[in-house]
Amino acid sequence: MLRRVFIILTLGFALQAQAGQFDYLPSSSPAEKEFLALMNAGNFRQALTAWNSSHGLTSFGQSADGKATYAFLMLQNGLNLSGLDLILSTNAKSLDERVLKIWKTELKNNVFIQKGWMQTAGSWKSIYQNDPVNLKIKNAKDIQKAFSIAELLPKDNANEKARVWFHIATLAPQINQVDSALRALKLIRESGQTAIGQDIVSQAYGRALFQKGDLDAAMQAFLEVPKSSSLWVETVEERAWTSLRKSDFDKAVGDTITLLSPALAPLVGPESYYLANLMALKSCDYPRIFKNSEIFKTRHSARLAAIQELAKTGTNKNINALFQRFDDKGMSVEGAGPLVETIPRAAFRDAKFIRFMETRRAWLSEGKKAAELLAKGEALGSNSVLQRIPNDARTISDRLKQLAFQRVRVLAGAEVQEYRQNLNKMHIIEGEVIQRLAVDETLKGQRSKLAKTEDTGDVLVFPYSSDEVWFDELDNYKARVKDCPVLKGASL
Amino acid sequence: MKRLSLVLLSLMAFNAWSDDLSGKMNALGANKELMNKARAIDPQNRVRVVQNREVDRYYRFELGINYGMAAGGDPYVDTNVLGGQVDFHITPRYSIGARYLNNSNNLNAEGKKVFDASEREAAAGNTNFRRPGVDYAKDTWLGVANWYPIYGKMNLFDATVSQFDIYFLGGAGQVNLSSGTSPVYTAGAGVGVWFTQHFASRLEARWQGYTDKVYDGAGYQQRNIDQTMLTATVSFLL
Repeated sequence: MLRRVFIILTLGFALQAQAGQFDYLPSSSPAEKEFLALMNAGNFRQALTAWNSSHGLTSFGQSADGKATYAFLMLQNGLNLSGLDLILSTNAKSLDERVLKIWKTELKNNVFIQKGWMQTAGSWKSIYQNDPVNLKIKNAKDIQKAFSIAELLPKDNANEKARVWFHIATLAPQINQVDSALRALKLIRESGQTAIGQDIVSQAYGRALFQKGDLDAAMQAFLEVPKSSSLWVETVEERAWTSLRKSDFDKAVGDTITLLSPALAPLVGPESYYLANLMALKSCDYPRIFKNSEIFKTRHSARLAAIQELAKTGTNKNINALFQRFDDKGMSVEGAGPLVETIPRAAFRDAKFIRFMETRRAWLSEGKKAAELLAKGEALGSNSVLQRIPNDARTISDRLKQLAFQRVRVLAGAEVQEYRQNLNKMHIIEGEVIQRLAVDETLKGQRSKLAKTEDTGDVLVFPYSSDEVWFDELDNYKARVKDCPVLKGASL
Repeated sequence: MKRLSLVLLSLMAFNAWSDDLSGKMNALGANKELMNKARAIDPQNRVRVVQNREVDRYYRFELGINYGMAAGGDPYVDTNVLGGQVDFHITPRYSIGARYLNNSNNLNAEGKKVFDASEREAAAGNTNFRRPGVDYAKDTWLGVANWYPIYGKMNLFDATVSQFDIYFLGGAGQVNLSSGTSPVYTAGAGVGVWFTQHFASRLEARWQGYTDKVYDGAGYQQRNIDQTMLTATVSFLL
């Protein structure tokens, strides 16, 4: 009996709270009363259609509260960006407390606001600040200043704090302030933020620890990045560098075999081939150097030409088809599909490019949705704000596409530079091999025998074949690398 | 004019720069004589694939439903089996288990022919004929031990990779016959495929031997039966 009373009371309070949310709406006329009922019932689709007849031409409809209400309805009907555009153009200080409360919640939960793809402006900045972080960090003082800035942000704005901390985490190591970077990353992990992926944080941790020289901890941090992450391929390379630094050639070669696997060919850049050749040079495995170079030429000649063309002219033969795929399936490696090699690898993680493409996709979708709503609402008259959306969406999405093209051209230039640097290094390695083969007497010596295999635990061992790659085998290769040959000295 | 020449110059420079890059790439590994020299000192490093088992089989129960057929046994009877089994995996290499098989027996074509002929003789009042005796198993209880020494994996329609184990089993139990009960012994082999952490299947072929009793006109005679059991099991790992 008591339990029943408790449930009834709780439900009653909840309903009352729900009912109070839209009490600010005028309800003098029958149309206004009907509109209020629709809003309280959560029937926002019908409410949007009924807006014109209830508040379209009233003073409330033209007021800031009215615009805010209409913006809320647009949000609830899938017109995310248009709704945000409308609300951010109003003055937050002139809104009713109840309307402001609704919008505080909406802004906190909105992905475009949280990721900073749409920035708050004017009086809304004091309610939710999501400006891109633009701090100069040139010395330890700047770092302390940046930490203070993060500290001053409101407690409930963990995402903006995390952006500041991440800025510190990536810039501090460049001035050798690794401990500050690690402190910032620790704060990010403990903050409960959602703006920066855990995989990015783990990778940043690994890099900071690598720079600090704590290679075992760096390896653990890189291993935290799961295979499902878009960063996983890169962390395999970073693990290989870490193993190379530890002189653990067995592990390093195992990781480079994963990197050079045909299954990952579209996702791997020139540095992985340079790394594989460097590893082979250090273990005096000269045939492997030539084999890796051949694989590199086979896989990357056409790609290099496409990226060079993109850097030079701003386009290449597949880029339009690729952008169409991004519009249809979203901006991701999976969305790119077989055209993934058409654009620079950095594009899939570039904040600006992702913002342009995802926002464009959202605008294209809103244009279609607005047209559908207009078609359905035609019988009741249409709102001028809604009517403008299809045209505005088209204009804005075209502009975003232009910006995306410009950005990808810049990234292509950087990737061409990356190819240049790594090709130079690979040529240096070949030069070293020529020299060694010509003059190094130790090559006549003996290599050590391979140690007996000891695989701990109940593991399954399968033979390795470069011709046939099983997906479940990626990242499970184990190499046994012989030392360089050594000449034994003569003794009396 | 000055701006145009600057633009043209930078375009030409970029052109030269990028052609240089493609040339640099083609020049990698171009020295064939060097390659042959290098091959002569191939260290022949070894690479193997080492991976964990996808399905954990330490201290886990496996409950299964099996269906199959028996070959051998009474010459006039066809037997199908439907039953259940429980296995306890101690390690991925060893498990112990229990099986229950309920037999569904029917006269085969030869048995029907012989029995129909004897019915006709009996109906005709002829007493000078011999009606064959049959004995059949009604159900079987077995305790088994399994040893999984061989593992492998297979590509399932390019959708997923499943690991499997080939195993050998041995055990003993009791068979309930139409004539009474008899101890039964079994030995065989099978393959278990572990699809997910909780779903598996087995295909098994085993010998089982027991002694039954058949009436030969003068009295009951003991008969040694050697059967081959072929079963397919769908099981769930707890």
